[in-house]
Amino acid sequence: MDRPCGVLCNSYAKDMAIVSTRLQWGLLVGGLILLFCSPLFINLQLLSIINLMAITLIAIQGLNILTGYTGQISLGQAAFMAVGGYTSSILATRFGLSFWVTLPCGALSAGLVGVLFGLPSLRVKGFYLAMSTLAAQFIIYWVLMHTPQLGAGPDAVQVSAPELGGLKLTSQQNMFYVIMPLAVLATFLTKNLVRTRVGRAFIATRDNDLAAEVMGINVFSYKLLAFFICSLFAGAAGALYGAWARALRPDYFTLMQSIMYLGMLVVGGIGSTAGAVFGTIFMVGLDQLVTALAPALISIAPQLGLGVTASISKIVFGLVMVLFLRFEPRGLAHRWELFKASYRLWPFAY
Amino acid sequence: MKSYMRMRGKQGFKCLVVGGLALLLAAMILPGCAPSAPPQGTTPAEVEQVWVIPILTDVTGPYATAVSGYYAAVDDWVAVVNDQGGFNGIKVRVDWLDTQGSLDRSITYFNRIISQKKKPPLMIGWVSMVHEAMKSRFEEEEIPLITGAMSAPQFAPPGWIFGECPDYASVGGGVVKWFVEDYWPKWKPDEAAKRAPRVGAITWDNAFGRGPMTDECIAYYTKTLGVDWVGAEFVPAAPIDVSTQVAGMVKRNPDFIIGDYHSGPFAAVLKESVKQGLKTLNNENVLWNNVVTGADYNLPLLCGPEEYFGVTSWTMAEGWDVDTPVAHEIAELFKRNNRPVSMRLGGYWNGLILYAIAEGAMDIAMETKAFEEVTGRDIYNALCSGKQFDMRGMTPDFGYSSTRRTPNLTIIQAYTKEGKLLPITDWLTCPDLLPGGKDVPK
Repeated sequence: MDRPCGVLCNSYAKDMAIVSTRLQWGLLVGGLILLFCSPLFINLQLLSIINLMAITLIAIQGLNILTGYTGQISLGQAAFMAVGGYTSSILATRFGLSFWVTLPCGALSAGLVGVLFGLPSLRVKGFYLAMSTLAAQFIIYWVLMHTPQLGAGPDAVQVSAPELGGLKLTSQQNMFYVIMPLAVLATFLTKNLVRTRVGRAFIATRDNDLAAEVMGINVFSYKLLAFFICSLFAGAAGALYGAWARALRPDYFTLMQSIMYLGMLVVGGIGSTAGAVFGTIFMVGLDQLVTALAPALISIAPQLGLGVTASISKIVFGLVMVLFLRFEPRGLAHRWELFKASYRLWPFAY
Repeated sequence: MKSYMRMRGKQGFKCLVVGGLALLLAAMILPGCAPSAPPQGTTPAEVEQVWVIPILTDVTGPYATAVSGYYAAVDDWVAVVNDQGGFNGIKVRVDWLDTQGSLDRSITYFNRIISQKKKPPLMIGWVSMVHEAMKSRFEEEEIPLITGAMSAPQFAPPGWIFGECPDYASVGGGVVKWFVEDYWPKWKPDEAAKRAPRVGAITWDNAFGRGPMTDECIAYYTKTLGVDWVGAEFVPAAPIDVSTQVAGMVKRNPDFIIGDYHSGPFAAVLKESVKQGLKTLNNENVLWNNVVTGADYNLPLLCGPEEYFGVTSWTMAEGWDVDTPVAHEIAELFKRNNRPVSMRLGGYWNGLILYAIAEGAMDIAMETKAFEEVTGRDIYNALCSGKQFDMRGMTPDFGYSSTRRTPNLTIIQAYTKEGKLLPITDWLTCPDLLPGGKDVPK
């Protein structure tokens, strides 16, 4: 967090601290208390949207490490989620393992699959790497659709709700306390990662991989590590999605979903932990809002026809992307930084 | 100074754009924080009774075009009912929940429904992919779902989802049975005397399209009917190019091709098949049949009036041009609401059927309870009571039981003739091919 005007650091530890003043600690703790008490005072629909946002956030933080910090574009994040979700589900149904075991297994399996599809990153970058990860999206989807013997297939796979001490966590409130701590942890890990040697290597690779290599960074290893962490997060998100929705189908992990995730990063601000949070909240919220308004739109303006209304969420998504790329390419995170900067200087103009 | 002002102006515009979007988001979130309060100062007797029917469907999204007829039908019919004083004096309102075929949207909207002070006694649905996944939720919350999507996992084992017609698997069995037993021997008698017919499928790659290709179906086709099953090719939801799939089917040399998709993809497949010689106009070498979405009047329009193909349905939906009381009733609805010819979609009939089931179930439940006391459990019991429902002639013998979640096993075959879809059979009985069904080969 940024420090208020006049607060100076007199040690390296203080300089590197994420939270450095009492006020910031207060805000953080207060915010977390408010967050974890929120199921007590918000309605069920909003709670389920928040759960969905939290699951998405985990996947977005992973993508942020890969795309935002390491500069490797991935169009396969939804597919990696599917790997985690299905692995977790298959382990639970076929081997009777507990969700608390299948969750890390799902995340790990997705991580390993991610490394596999990250191998081309040694040779290709940018647009070509995006195409390579696009292949991951299609290959994984195809495998899931055509392997009912593995426990996937086109039909919905029922996933049992997680259990804790004999209690089945079926309600949104219960699931909130499973999902949200993991989302907070993922955010904290991402924030912390970029302050470490690994994080600095990621950023160096993103900024100039040749220069990074000259400095002694094993670029290929770090790229693969970024793919692993990204897919690990996606796998965890997929396993949580299965547990939250209590069902999985390949159709829920499409290319459009992967593109949406990239869009969330762009809107929030690529390469910013806070940006991933803002992007997720904004885009999932907007999607839910548009979905809620679509039937009303058809009633109000039937002359638009289903051709327009059927595409309304895609239209809005595209429009938001264009607006952000044109007017705020650094995303909502930049707006947040500006707001904080002006707040720190207040009442002075600059 | 000027450049400073310009910079401030740009900043202001940026703030405006971003602020506007943030407000939009806040507008969505804030209402969710406030629990809805009942109207103050009124007694229950003073409040007008309204029956709100939540409809879980994809108003938008890749499968939405098929919903337009359904959407229109429910709107039209509800307007008629309310104009006539309501259903048993109770005003009817529908609450469209747009799923876009997405499970997470469905779950969030379902949560809105169940968090209401009084849960709705029933819901209506349309999307297989979502219903299959949410099957346990309907049971947990004790809300029966009446659906127009008929993939088998929803109904076997029986739960709280009730279909409006035979499931896709059983319909598929009925179509192939009709072809093998009725059509094939008359169409190619010499061939029929020598060999089994070759049957394949080009269909949607989803629960809907794969519905007539379950393990039970394939076992029935091959073991019971003795057909030579040549396999299936799958097309995406909105196919741009289907040449690969058609070429794949050409190699398999089928006599009869079934499919299960909406009219747009079916038309695309038909046109491509003509190009590749899998079908020749007016001199059929292959017979085509769309298994369940036969009722779209725009199908002949899309395919061309000279195209010859079959459709199978469970309603009199092919009877847009048939002289029946229901067809006249629907013609009146169209006239009243200025509906264009292009709206003559199968979904329109389905919408009417779904609403008729809801009315029938509520009627039975209200025999013993007042409307405001009717719960999901009462509707469930009403549906499972085994009583027959009045479908106003749209489909015969309509009723459920404690073990049966599909209302009948009747289908009807129609074929194109001079750009119109006309029935060519009477009601046919299809085999029961739900998992564990009596016609599934052991």
